[in-house]
Amino acid sequence: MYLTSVAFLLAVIAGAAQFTALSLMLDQMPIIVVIIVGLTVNLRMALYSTTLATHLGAAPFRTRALLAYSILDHSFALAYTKHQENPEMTLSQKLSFYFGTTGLVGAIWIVGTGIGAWVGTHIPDWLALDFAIPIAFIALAAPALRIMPQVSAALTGLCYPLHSQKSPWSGPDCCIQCSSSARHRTGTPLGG
Amino acid sequence: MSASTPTLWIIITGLALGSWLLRFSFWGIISNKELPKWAKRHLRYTVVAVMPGIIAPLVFLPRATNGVFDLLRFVAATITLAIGDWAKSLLITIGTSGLTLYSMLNAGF
Repeated sequence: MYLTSVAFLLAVIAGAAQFTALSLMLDQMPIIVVIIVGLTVNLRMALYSTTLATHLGAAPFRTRALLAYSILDHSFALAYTKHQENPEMTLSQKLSFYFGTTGLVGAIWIVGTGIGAWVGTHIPDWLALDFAIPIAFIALAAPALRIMPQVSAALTGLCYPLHSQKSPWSGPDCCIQCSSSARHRTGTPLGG
Repeated sequence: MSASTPTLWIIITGLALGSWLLRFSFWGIISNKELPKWAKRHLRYTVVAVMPGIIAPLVFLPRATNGVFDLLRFVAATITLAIGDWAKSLLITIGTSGLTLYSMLNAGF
């Protein structure tokens, strides 16, 4: 049980896709449906890939192939914000920073998954760990809100998933992709 | 777990390969070429656009209350936003808002 949890994590390293795939598997969906929906949930990774490439595109092929395995929401946001704020960093400094964030976040995540598989059912409710995810993501996005177009993009991003609420996980995640282009269109005309 | 083990491993492998392909897609293709200005401008909005999309259901319809709007968690989210905007430090924001949430939940609200 622990082996498959950790193996699942090491294979995918994207919590949203893992949760969605798990719940579809428990509903006995066909394998191909589980894989397709899981990958749709992970489409934001392609977006992160493009965004990282603006600063890290010139890295050697093998480095890119290896580091691409570990693109995480957090390490991407931290690294990209840092690259934007400090454009004078050299490529190897940017790569080091990115590898540092991804390595640290990834390592803690793997250990956390192991601990969670072990004691997860005994964690008390008053710890409110369900709210750890929103807190972490808001803490990432809040410092990045600098100009008005970004605020409007954020507000659009908030509304679309709420409109398409069907099940707790697959509805909103699939809608992130549709709303990405809408948010970009909302953002740029205002002068970003 | 009601899924059989071979099914599970096929899914894990499929998701692993697909996810890596997605993550490497553009980073692999773009390499040394400089992206056009309009593309770079769009990509500056990635962080602020995708993060709210991920957390919106969790903030407004939290799973702890089975999808019913919870004022305490919403207030905690707003406070996190304010602290994050002011402090601009990830750890300070997470620490302070965690403390705020716990004190609200345990102060008997």
